[in-house]
Amino acid sequence: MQRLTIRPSVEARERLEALVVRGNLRPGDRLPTERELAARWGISRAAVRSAIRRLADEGVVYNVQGSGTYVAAPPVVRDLRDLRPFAEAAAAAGRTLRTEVLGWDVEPADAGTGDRLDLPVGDPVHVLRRLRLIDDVPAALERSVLAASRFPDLPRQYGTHGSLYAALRGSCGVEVVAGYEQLSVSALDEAAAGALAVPPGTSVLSLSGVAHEASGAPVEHFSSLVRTDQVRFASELRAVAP
Amino acid sequence: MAVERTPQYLALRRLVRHRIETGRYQPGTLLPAVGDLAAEQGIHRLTALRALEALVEEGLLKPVVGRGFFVVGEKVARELETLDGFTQAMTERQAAPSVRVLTRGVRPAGPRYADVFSVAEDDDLCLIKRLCLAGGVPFSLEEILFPADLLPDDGVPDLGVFSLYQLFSFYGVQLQRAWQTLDLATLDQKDARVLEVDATVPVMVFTCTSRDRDDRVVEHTRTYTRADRASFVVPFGSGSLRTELVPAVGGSWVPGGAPG
Repeated sequence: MQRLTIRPSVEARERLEALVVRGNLRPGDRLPTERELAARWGISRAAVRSAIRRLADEGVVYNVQGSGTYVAAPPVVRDLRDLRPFAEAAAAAGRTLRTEVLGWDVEPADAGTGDRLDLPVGDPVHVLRRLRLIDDVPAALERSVLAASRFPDLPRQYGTHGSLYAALRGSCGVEVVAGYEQLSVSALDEAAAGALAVPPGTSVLSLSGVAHEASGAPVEHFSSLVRTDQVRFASELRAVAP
Repeated sequence: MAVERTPQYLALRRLVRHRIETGRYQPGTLLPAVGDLAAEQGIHRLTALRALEALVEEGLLKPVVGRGFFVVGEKVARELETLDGFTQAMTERQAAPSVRVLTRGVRPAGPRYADVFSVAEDDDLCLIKRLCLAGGVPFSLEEILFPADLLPDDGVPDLGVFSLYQLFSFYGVQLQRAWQTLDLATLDQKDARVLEVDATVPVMVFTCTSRDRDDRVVEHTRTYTRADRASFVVPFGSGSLRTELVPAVGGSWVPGGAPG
């Protein structure tokens, strides 16, 4: 088979990634200069620069004006099907998750919400808006919608438990067991960008879906905007015998 | 307006919305005939029609005289579990898939992939780069790496026709599990041109590492997917939605992270 030549910028990128993956460079470490790396690897400075720029675009490294390029902290890995509280996933990665409740509102359900939650249009729903911060850096904006008639005292119960699913389990006897979510990419508007502390127009992952209990009855209609430099979604797949 | 309050009307509206959200009814495709939907649900045709009209008002469906109702939108929804199966998923979704192999050859693993595959830096890997199109429009760009000694030389060219997983199964490589991550990234100018996107606009990057039964890494694939063309549906937990997964040829994948 044909022997391929690896482009210098690709080689530089792979060498840099290897330094990070192998722990030769750790989060917060400053990268050697372009000149040093170019000389060490026998690759042109332009190719090294291009590789660093791509890694900066992907949030693997970041530039500090007048100081250099540093290795970023890796995003917290979140299993897409993991129903554990986000805080546990963060703690497992040695990071701290903090949640700010931005508001609890009661609104009439529109057709979309009504269909997803099996409610008549106009029925009252709780709308909970939260900001998630990882090590005090804004990571996700989340919106949860639940039937207010079914969970009349939810805001107070949430306050007691500090987690939505814990409140549902502990105070309402409702266990969320499954659901589905849609994943797509969207650009942040000014308000969301402000809350997530990034420039307007920044691309983020947009998640929305429905979580339901064992009977199949829908419990929560959720949507969230997630900074991909802070959270990385992942899933493990297993083969089953055909 | 009485019809709007009947449970049958609501049930069909919910069902159709759910099937659109979970990718069973794909954007740009025609819904089953109103009569068929009505028969499936055991309801009156007029009731079914009203339910669809409500979704037309919301902008989810578009009626076309003489043809029926089309699902609005340009994104192709895919289930994330279907690791393989671009071609198969697209066929089932009637999106006219095709695959174009752009690069095919061997390269040394280098420091980055020596670690991934647990091989020496100068061991050879096969690199296949291919473009997947849906309806003639670029959808994703795949960079597939696997140890060069895994498949016989003459097996590899078939990748324009068969999926890697199909080839693996032909040659007795038994896949056991895979780990997949999702990131956003920008492409270089050349790849952006191939995928027909602006190089400043981020694309979705799925990175998948598959292992065989001996826990050996047999494949590492990066798939750059146009964010303007794709949304993904992920079932989680232990619900019945799992049965909606599209089976891959030669075995199928199920989520491994489901809570007990």
